[in-house]
Amino acid sequence: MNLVFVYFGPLDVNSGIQAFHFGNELTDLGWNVTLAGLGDPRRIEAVGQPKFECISHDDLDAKAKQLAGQGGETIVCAWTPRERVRKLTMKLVGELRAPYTIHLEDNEDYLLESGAKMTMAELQRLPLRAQDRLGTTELIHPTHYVEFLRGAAGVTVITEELNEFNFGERPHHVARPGIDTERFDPDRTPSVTREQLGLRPEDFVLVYHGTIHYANQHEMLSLYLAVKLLQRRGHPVKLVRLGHSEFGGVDPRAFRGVSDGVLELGRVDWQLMPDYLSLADAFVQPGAADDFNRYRLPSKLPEFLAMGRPVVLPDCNIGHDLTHGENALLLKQGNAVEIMARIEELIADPALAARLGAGARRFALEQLSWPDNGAGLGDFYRGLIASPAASATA
Amino acid sequence: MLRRLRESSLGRLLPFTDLRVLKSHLPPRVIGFLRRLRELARRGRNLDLQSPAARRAAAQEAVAALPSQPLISLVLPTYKTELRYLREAVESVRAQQYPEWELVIVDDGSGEPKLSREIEALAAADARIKCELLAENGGISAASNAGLRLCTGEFVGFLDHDDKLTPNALLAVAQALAADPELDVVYSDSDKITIANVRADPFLKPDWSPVYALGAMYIGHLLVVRLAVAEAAGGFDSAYDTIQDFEFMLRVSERTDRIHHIPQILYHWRAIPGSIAAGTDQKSGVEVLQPQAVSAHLERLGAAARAIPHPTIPHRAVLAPTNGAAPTATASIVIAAGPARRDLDRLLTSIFAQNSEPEPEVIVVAPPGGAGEDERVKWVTDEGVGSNRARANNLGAAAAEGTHLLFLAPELEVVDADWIEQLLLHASLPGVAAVGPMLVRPDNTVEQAGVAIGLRDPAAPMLAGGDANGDGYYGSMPCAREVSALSSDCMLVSREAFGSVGGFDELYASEYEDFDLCRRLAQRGLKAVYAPRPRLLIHRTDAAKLAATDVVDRALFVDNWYDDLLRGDPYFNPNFSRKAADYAPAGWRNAIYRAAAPLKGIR
Repeated sequence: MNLVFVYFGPLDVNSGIQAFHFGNELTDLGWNVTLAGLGDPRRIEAVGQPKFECISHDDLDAKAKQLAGQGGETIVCAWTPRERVRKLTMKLVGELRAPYTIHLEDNEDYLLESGAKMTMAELQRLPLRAQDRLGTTELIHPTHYVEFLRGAAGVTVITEELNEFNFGERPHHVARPGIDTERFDPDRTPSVTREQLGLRPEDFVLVYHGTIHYANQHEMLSLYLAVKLLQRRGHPVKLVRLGHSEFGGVDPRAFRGVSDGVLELGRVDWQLMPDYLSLADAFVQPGAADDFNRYRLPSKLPEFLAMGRPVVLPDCNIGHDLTHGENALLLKQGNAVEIMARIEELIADPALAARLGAGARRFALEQLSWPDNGAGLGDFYRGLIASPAASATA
Repeated sequence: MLRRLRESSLGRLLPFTDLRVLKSHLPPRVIGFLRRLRELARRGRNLDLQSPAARRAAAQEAVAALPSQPLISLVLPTYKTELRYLREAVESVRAQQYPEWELVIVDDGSGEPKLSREIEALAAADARIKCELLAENGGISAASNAGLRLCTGEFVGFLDHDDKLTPNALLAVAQALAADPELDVVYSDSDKITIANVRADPFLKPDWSPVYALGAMYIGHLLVVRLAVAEAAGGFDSAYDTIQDFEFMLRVSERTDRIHHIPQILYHWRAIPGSIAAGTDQKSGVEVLQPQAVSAHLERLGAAARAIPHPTIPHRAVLAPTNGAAPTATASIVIAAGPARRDLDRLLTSIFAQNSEPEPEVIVVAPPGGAGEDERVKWVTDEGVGSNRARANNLGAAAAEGTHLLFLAPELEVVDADWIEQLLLHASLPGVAAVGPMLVRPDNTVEQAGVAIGLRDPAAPMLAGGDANGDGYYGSMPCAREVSALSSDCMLVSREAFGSVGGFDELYASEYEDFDLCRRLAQRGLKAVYAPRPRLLIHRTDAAKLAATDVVDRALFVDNWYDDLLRGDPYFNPNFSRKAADYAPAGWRNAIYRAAAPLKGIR
């Protein structure tokens, strides 16, 4: 059976890594997998060697002809309902007469609302031509994406809450990512040392990797500010941050005022990520249990959990499967004051920190297995192909 | 304008020129201008403003997308109206993009056959237009009430006989009603048109501000009210002719607080000699009627306050105590002593020089060894206060016994004898928990008149640098009004409200804790109000202000109130510049805003 993932962006960033792992697992299970991404498909090699074919969006037409020619059942997975993916997917399924599924990994409404500074209801009230001119294919189209979801044979979601956006009430499956627990090993000997980065032995180090962009500016400000507040209260806390930054938000100067206590390393080779993560005494995924975080599972969280350090994260998405005080510390408000309080708990109680770290690792081993989660996804796709409803949507 | 811009050589160049290339050739100010210009063109395209046809098509789609289309009646009273103005007014209604309207024209016994024939002809030409020609002149309230009786719409709006609606006016109202079907009142921004049809003086209003309405007749037009509410309020009162719409709105506001502001100019107010639009001294009787209407309103609300005309500025009212009312509230003054003893001595001397009755409790919080010898002062010392103003003020509040806490910065000087009385008076208004007065520099310019949030600065002093004796922006200086935040340089807050939110947050090391307190009060539905009186002098140098800036405190305020800051200040119209809270036009944003309206004659 053929499976085509239409991924929204370049293959070596964000959830492209999840697509890579799912692709490998499904290939092992006998699927003929193709992963189409934006730009050079060889970028996947930064993540690892794929066992399947990776192509550019530009090559999808040729791929459609090839699949149509060789026959066999095909299912197309649109990785997010964003406009670029929607257009590519609709063209592909039209040519192949194949059913499609949509993978939801974010509250897409929130992303568009944050960018456009209008509510979804307001955006949907705009004339269609004005919606078309919102100017980006990187996000959803207010009207078309609803139709797109209604027409899908099935929907996969990274967290159960996202099924609220399954407007057609199609069959759905929670496609939770996994983690390579051998690479993300708490006991690894890192190639990067604290000393090299100028960190002192007594420093309590937080490591965070990920881009700062318009949708997460507030929560990143909370993290930066929490570090600054901790320092002001006399704690030797340092934040090492990896990734690109676009400081902005309601007050760019607020960021500037609190970023001097952060060690900014910029983008680093993804292969080195476990080494950098191993420098940490704890991890913080900032954010409130709000409309943005409730519907997402930041791809770094499985890595944090696997590294066997205490993890502080919002009380939503995967946080619902964790237990406060046993294998994580959960945030309600997610603001700087609350993050500060949680870190002070960890500093004051090393035994608590050790217990939380061990619990996090155990959770990763038990719940975030790529083979198990890949098999579950394969079963879901198989069921869709076999169902009469899928034939009807094809 | 946009089309002209696109067709110009500069406009053709802009989309294709990377401004980074030009950076080495042009000064930064020019680069900044070009960047804004290019943004203007891009936004113009996105907003689909290229042509009237495109706008009509967009409007049709917007109408079709409405979940419901309630009938909106418009009442238009006429009296000896110039025919050309009447035709323009009616034509502006007939040109509405929103189709579900009816127009009720009532002639108030003008006794002009030409006008009567014109009105009847207008009604005969369009089935949506009704008319009634009153035999006798009963005044504008009587005519408006006659119009109200003919209305069949769910909502009713009011149009003066020589004014005009923008084509999207009723559509914008219908969209607001669709977004919140519980609304009873919708009002919009407005501007003026001269007899030569030149547009001028945009009035960009705050969201519903009942305290501001006590001092300035700010609601004006366009005003749309649920017909049932208008009828329940009793319609218009002839005793208030000339300000009848203002007085009507006061009574409407006693029945509902579901009042929504659309920050768009939807109404052009004709400025002809004799109308208020032409100048605030053009209509006689207003100086008496306005405070009379406000005083009656306050009495109905049960407030121990009345309104009197502003001593120097026309059409502005200020508050005064109700005659004979016995004061029940008391203020405890709390001062966090700074390092300069001279400041504190000057402040204490000025406080006691006012001989306030009863003599206020004065509490000074200082580090150990900082207590003075003045026996009229309750001295509180604590090792932890240092520069932490929040902690010092919390300690002072804990020692206070008054019903209200009056926080003062040591650099202030009291100059008005009735200062405490005035602050308590404003604090007695319904829903008000905190009051901040005008702080004035020794050169009689304003240091601050309230604080706006969500501008370039997360909390910006309002009207800073303005003339303390001026009108500000449509009365923003001489009239009390709602604000989003106040400074603890001088803030009166009810002790009960202060306690209910846990006092100042001491995580703020030296500043922003006062703005934070106001936001927490607002979360509980409690208002902060700027009071034009009393005035307090502030002796603070610019160097001292800079030294006080704490970037971590600023970030903490931003982090705590991010969503509020993102939404913007409800009491500071979004079409003003974000650079400062000085009510200045909003640069390119304003240009875009204007682009949505007919461009002809804008000045």
